[in-house]
Amino acid sequence: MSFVLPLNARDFFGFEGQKAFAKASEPRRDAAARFLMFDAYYCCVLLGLDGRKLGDENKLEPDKFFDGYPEAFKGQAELMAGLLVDAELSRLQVAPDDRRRIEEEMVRLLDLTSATRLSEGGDRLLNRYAVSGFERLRDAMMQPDNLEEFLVGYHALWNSEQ
Amino acid sequence: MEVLVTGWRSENVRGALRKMEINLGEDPKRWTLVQMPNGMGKTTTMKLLRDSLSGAELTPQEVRDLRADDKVDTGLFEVRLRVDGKTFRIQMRLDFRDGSATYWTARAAARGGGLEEGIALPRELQQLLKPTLIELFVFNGELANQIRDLSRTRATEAIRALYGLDVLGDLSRRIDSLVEQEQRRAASVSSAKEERGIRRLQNSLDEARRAKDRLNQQERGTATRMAELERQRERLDGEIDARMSEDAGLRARIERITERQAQLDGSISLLSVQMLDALRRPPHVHPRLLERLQTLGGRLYELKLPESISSEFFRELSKATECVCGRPIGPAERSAITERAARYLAQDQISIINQMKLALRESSGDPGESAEFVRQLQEKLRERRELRTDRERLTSERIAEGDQVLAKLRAQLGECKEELTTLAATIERLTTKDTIRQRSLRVTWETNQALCDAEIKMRAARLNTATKTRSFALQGKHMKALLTAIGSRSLDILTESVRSATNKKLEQILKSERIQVSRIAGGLELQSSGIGAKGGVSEGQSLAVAYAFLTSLLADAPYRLPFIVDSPAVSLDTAVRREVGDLIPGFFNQMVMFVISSEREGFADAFYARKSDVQYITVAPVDDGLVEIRPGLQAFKDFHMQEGAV
Repeated sequence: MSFVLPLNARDFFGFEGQKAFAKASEPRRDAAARFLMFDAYYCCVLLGLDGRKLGDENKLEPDKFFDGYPEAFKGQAELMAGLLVDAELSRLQVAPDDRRRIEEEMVRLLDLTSATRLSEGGDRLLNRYAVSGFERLRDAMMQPDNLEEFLVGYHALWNSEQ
Repeated sequence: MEVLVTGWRSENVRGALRKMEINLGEDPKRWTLVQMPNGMGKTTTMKLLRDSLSGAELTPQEVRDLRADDKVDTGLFEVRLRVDGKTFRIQMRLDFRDGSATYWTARAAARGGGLEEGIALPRELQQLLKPTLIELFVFNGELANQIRDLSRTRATEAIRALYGLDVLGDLSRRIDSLVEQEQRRAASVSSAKEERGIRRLQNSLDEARRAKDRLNQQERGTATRMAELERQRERLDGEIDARMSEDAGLRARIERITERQAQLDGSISLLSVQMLDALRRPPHVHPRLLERLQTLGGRLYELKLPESISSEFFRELSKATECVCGRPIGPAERSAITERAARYLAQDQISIINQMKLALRESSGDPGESAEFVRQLQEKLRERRELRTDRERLTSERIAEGDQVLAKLRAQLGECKEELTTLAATIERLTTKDTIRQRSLRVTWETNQALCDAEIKMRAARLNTATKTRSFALQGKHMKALLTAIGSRSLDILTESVRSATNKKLEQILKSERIQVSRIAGGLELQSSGIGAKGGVSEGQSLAVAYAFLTSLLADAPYRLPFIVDSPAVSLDTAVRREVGDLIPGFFNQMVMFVISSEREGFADAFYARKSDVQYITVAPVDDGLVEIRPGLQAFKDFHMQEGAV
């Protein structure tokens, strides 16, 4: 399964091929070139996990865009898995002291042999969190013209809902 | 290949068939005359023979009509055959309570000689035994007249049945059904079936394709114009800078602005990279995420999750003879340990949870770091905007001092930027694939390439479906026309072949008068030097013609079939009976003829001379509705009974 982008996310981040913010009116710098397609996915997922809300699976692109985590995200797989477990325990209203259910959920979501550290069901859920995160992102900000504008706007979004 | 009837029997069937068995012997004579008075079940026997051979489905009423009386619940009819020397018994079992009739077959070759459900004759024979063909050899005497009758189609029906031409009709009906099925399936995509409808769909697709060409052209034109304008903007920027730089004071200020702008771009780029690196670590994004990760890690420690003992440990333990505590492990303990092992996680599950737990425990971050990057970034962006304004202001001041050339250049630059903005919007309208943007821009398939592609795809699918359906229907029509032609041509050839064979037989048997079949057109049209085309033949000759036709026809069947006939001469006067009696015996390999006593004179006595190959059976009524089977010529001759008395 692995990672699948929400529909229209490519357009929102101005991807032309692998280049983000390709139509930026400001002169392009190296920084924009370093914004990966996985960064776009990750930004959406974080917002979805934060909101603990699953999106519609039909609002995903038909095919995965990446297997596993890119090098720039090395060491983050376990933390992402932790955030997914946290979001699911909350969404399913598992009591904090329900030892058996917590263990069951972890077994359901995690897989040692997977590149994402998630089971296939876990991958699928993460993609659905990306959908709800993308919806939250698009509701909150206009399509960014360049990376710096996006970074400022994304940070503002996290801090506007404390 | 040969089929012979070796006998039949019945139980609990109405009339004299309550208990009757006719045995023709394993090697039946060529001719058998079965004398049965009227009302004893000749017609019923003929029908049961036909139904048993074809495995006909009887209605409950038909079954109950066969019931001997209310005291019996079940009945039976069995016909015995010899097919190429092998014996087959076909049983029709009647259940008068539920009105059902089921068929069973006993084969000598079958394992144990037992009965098997259904009719299990050799495949080729079973395919041949269709009701329309069986009618030809388990023969209803009236059919002879129908075969002759030009106003009916019995003769051609018989040819069609024997040579399987009816299959062509079945094929035609199957084609109709497939075409209808395809049209119904296609109706969900397009209702067009006719040429006009397809033309309409083709025009509709062409329209969408033209729209796509137009949109592509627009996009190319717009992109080209934008590239021109970008170059123009760069040129105008350069010319404005050059014009401004003619003033030494302004030149120094512009140089400072340009230099600072370059520094700012570098700083913004660096900050963006630093911010992006921070963003890629979840605990650095926001304190809330850090808190959640640490809370979950803490909870796992508090709950002592995961269990440190794995299911593998217990599975291994269950194989040991002694527990770690030293106590022996017996079958009961082993079973309990194996069962409870499933409650523990596997080693790899424990490992992944432990890895996550460790990562959560060690998670740390400084969300303030991101906040600081953003603060700096915002500051640089603001300064960049200010520098841009400064540059604009310098230009405005210069123009205010009366520099008309600069004013013109700036006006041109303004127009250039405005047009670029308009064209960028045009490009977005033309190219956006984002469904939400498409809706908010209110674009349609006529103004947006992605929507136009989707429209073309849909219209092409409609056209394709309609074209395929129409083509399918046309192919079906051609196929049916071919089948009709094949059927018609085959019938002509076969008819001519049967007619010629019939005439050869008639030449041999009707030596005194030359009667020929001139045409088979539904019925048989005869001609003779003396009778003209419309008939005038005697009834005996007419019957002989019908039988000659049937034998010619059946001679081509893959099996030599017996001929069973009911009252072949009853309607004929004595002179004609003698003629028929003399004529027809030579036609068939096995003939079973049901006769009544009044047919003896003239017809039956024609067989008396053929001593060795004739078998005589008389079915005589005795008390209680039962019958006695009397074999032999003498009993046949001696039997006297008033017809209609039973």
